[in-house]
Amino acid sequence: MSAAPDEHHEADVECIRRVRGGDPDAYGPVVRRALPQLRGLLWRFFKNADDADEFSQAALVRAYEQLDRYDATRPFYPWLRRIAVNLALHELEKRKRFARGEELELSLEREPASDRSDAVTQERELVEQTDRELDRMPPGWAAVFRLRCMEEMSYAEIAECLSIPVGTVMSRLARARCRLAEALAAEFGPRRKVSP
Amino acid sequence: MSEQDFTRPECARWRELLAQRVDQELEPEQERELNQHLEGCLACQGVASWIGEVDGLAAMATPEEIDEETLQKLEGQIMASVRRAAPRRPRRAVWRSVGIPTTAVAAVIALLTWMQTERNAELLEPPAPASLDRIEPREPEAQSLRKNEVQSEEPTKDGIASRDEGAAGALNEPVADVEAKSQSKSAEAFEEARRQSEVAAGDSDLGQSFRERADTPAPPAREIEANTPEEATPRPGGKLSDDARAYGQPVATVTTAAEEEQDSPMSLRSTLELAEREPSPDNLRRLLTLYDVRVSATKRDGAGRLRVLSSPSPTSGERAMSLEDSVRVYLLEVLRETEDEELRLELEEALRE
Repeated sequence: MSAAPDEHHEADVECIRRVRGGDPDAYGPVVRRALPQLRGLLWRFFKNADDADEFSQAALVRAYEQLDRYDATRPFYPWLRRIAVNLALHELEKRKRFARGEELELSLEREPASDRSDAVTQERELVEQTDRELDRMPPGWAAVFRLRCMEEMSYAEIAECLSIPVGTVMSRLARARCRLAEALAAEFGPRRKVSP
Repeated sequence: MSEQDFTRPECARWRELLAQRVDQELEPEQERELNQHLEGCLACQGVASWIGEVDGLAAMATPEEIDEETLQKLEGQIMASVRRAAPRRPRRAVWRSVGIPTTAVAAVIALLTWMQTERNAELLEPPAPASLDRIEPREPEAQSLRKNEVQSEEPTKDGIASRDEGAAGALNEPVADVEAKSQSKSAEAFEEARRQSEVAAGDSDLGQSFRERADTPAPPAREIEANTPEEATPRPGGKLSDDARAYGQPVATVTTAAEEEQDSPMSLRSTLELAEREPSPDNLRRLLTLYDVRVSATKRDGAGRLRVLSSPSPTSGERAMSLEDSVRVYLLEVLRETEDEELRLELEEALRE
């Protein structure tokens, strides 16, 4: 799912022009076009609907308040996404600071892997393990990985979104992949072909 | 769970190459070296077997579907928030639209503040003893205003004069009245100093006496009451400001607010000091919030104008203004240096106007 729905650019710009002219209701169509994709992105960061909804709302309202800073020559969604990702990252970093102790307890309490008898169960476990490991790593690494793998953004787009150099994007992505691969290898041993 | 430890710091270079290989081809030499290493390293083999899979596994975590009804409800909530936010959507500041940096504007504000302070200081500068006679004709006016002032400081029904009421009352006065009041307070202060000098016979240098009085630590409130009981009786539950202590009379309550703010453990000043000492995101945000609240309140109730015009003391006016400027200058520095994008956005928003 690639971001930047350029086909909406002109419509977005027209609505935003009206908003800037003093018509807040003109923001409605912009919200409608951006919301599903934005919410999906934020769900990947938070893994729950409540947070995804709350931060979608926060990002869209924040974007509205800062519309004067939006460059209308560029697509709206990447600009909005940048605000949303930064809000999400800030929140995740805050939660991580407060939850270090709880995380340790949860990892100790976690039930051992099930019998892994069927491929579906095994695949679900792999996905869950990947998710857990993403949550454990520094939010900045996980954000780069999520934007690359889930949003299919280019290095340059990620760099712009997170305000970091492309080299940092590449190194964070490499570290995130290694961390995940190490965790999966430690949990499941070397990868074997999943039986069909 | 596998018994093997796959996290091997000594293999960091090879892990980096493994990760790079997911997105792009390695140089032939790097590829050859990596394969050579993999032949002899079971841990890296384990990691290599997974590293090409992790992108796909992560992408499998698909968001929960959102139905049309929920989507509409969410849109409604967002638009309601937008409509509430509409009046406060900041307009682009004029100086930004013409490319003047915010720092330059801050410098101009600081300069204007300093000039205002200098002006206040001039108003309070004690004249030479010979010139006191020229002040004399203003006494009736000073007395009249003093009378009004004492009336405005009378306790309310519950015995405590509200600070907001005081500020609101002062706001209702025309600016010219407030300025006149400020100037007449100067005359009143000189008159008071002159009376004191007459009591303290032999003190011929009235100017010096006045300066000493203004600069020396204030006597306890009880002592002030004893000296000028009809003027210096503090409000029940209230406290005297620097100005009151310096002149032996209660004055505008806004300066008292500045004192109270300074004394509070969570004051703007203490938060600024904390943030300078420990510039953590939390401390910076706390400072930003307090600054924002202060500036918003100033804009809302015109307290900034009051602080400058109604206070006869350059000390209190200068302190209140320079603290905000200090915070602003500090936050501008943070804005230039921070790598925290979210904090940067918040700072830009708060410092925009």
